[in-house]
Amino acid sequence: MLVVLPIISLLVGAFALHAVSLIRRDLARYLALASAIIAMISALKISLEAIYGKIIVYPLGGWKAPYGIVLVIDDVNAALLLFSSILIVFLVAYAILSVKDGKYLTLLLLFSASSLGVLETGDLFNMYVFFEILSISSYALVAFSKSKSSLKASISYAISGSLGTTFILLGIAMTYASYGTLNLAHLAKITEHNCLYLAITFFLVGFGIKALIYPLHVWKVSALSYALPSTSAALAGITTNIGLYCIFRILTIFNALRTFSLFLISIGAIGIILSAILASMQKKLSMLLAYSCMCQASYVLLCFGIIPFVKESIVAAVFHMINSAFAEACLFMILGMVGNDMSKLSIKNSVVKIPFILASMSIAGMPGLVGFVSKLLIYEVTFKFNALLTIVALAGSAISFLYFGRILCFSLHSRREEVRILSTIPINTLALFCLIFGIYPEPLYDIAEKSLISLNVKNYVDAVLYVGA
Amino acid sequence: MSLQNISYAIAMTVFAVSVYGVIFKDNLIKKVISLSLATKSVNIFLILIGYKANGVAPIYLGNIDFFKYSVDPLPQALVLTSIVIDFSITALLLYLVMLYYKKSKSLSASEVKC
Repeated sequence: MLVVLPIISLLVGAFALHAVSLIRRDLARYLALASAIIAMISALKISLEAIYGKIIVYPLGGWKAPYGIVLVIDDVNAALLLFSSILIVFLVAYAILSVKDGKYLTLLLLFSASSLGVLETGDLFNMYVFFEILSISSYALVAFSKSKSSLKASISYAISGSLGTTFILLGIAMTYASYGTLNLAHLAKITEHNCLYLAITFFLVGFGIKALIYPLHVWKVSALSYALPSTSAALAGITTNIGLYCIFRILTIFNALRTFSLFLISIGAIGIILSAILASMQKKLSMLLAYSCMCQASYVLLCFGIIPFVKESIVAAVFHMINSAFAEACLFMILGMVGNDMSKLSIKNSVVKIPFILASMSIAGMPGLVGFVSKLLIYEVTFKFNALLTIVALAGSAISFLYFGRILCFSLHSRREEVRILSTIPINTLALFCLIFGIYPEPLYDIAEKSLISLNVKNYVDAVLYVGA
Repeated sequence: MSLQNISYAIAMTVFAVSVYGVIFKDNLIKKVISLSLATKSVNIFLILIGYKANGVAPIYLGNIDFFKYSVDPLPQALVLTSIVIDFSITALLLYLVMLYYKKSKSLSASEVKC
């Protein structure tokens, strides 16, 4: 029961919001926050149980694994579930403070519920359905301000994204036609020696659009830069990680990581350099942040590519996914409080200034912040595989120092300006996260290190298919 | 070449045509129609997977040759779900295009590029 509670509480919150707002307007906001907090607590409990215990399998409706839909929580998705659910609470809190519209909260809660659903599910078609809910609500969220530029961004993102999800559906149809099952564990058991490269390519295209990987980044970058800041924070912090997680899960299930590793490495390396250069050329802060978000996704993809050669790179990938989600979300939230134009940008108040410095330096990889630890892990695993890739990773980091440093040099002013302290609580807490785990990264590293266990697909298969046997 | 193989080929041809439509057509409404057509062709593909000659509905009533004749119910369930998803995406996209048309009096996709 506890396993489905994160999804259910967010879904109930999303739809009960309107009924409650008929009675009292402001009660709806507390309901949204309460459902997010319930989701966080239950997600914390189950994911810690999965990380420090064994894999949790929950058959929906009591139907056992290959026949029914199961929710599976192993170490990789437990780590992401834990931190995504924490991030969701901050996103909802920020949305309550900045966007005063009940419909926005409904869409955001639907978005969060489906994102946790994608992480938890152990069935390919169920993953597709949750992914579609995630996509549809994110298209609506991008277009929410109804300005002309946001409509443009939303239409182009929606058309490309739904073409991508149609490719995923075609891939699922091919998988079912070939193997006669859609349960991920069952698929992993059957596809141990042969695999369906065309279907996997379709999955990569579909998930890649949401994961912000190199040749498919155009539409999501424009969506990130024209949406409301709270939407951009959600898209950057959660959707990117969901897309990357789905790519990882599909490749491990089909046992195709080794086949696709050169492809992933090259796309990751090109993405790091290209996005870093593009970010340093932008005149708008939102575009800069969108490209730096793409840069982080490319680092993760690079790590996925190295997994068959250096196993530890999964630890670096999970660590980097978690910390960049927090820092990116924090930066996009700050974007809502300062202007968008780089030449006129001035960050005056210290309650906004300090989190901006912490989060941007964490993404660039300043020692003492959590971004440095993950960059160090990435340098280490890339050096074990090929020193040339370490140079690429270092170059990406150096260029991000350049473009964030430009803002820090020219746009921080000492003149005081009134800011509502309450609205800066989410960003300050997220920035504090970067600092605390930067000084003491042990707990975060422990959680990320556990994902080495789930690299062995056999554990996953055994836990799901032979539950109770 | 059996009838079923020809149907597979037709489904994939429709998919290719609709992907062409999404990428190369300039009119936004035509893009949305092509997108909907793409999902429909995948639905045809899914239905064909579950096809069985002389198949009966998969409701077990105690007859012995049930497993020989009953069709696979899963593709039908998948198609049902994907029809609903396709419907909601089309509705949302048409609404967005309508809003955009009210703002800019244009349906050209080349102006949508950011």
